[in-house]
Amino acid sequence: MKRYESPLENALCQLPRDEGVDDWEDLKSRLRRRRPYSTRFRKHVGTLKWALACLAILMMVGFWQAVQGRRSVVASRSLELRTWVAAHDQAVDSDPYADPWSQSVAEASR
Amino acid sequence: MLAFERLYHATRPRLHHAVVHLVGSSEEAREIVQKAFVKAWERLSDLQEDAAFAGWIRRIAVNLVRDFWRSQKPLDEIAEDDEEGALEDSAPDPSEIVFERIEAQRLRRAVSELPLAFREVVVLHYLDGSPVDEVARTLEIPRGTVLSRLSRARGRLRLQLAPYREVAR
Repeated sequence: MKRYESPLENALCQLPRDEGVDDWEDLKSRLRRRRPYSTRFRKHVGTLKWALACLAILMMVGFWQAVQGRRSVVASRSLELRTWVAAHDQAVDSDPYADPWSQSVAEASR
Repeated sequence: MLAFERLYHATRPRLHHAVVHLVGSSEEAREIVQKAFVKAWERLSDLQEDAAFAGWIRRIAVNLVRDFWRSQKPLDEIAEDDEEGALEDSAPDPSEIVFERIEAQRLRRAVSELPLAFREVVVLHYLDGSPVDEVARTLEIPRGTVLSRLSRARGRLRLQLAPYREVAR
């Protein structure tokens, strides 16, 4: 036992020990009364939280990719349309009969 | 369960000794110790390393003791200057008092009359034998605060026991 210079501190250290009585049986019955599922669930709370976080991240990535994909489809379609319109306008400007539609109209009116 | 039983048998006596001085009743101490072990069992997965079990359950027990006193009466106030309080004991010269001659019962009573914050450090450091750093970890307070409270608690004990003192020859 550690010795102090102060008599008060030594007296405190030397107070008689009161260790109570061993009551493992009582504790065991208390532990059995606890709901086993809540204990089991508590053990997996951390894993569950991680799984939910990962799922949320995956869903966010999926959503972002879907939005990006949709945007690129729209962009490529509008580019295709613009290219076609420009080519058509250019062809009509150089030769009005180059347009198959106007050509068929002209043939019908003959 | 078997490992937990072993831990119970190994740590319960020392824990009971500390708790009984914190609550002042053997029956209440027994109840708090049992509750501490039930809580420990439920949170066993939170324990990082087995070697830390004794300190961990002591922390659980101290929190239960605080809950116990909170339900009984408001926690004792500590003087404002506690945190920065002087480290010197504000009491008569220790050499004047022969504490060995003071009955254990009287000393126990004096300890039980200390405010809880002072009683915690006295019980954990002197009665339980924990080093100051461990007391600081258990109570989740800085080391300096532990030293300050110990010093102030000793001062109070000396004042409380002064009427029974015997002048050393």
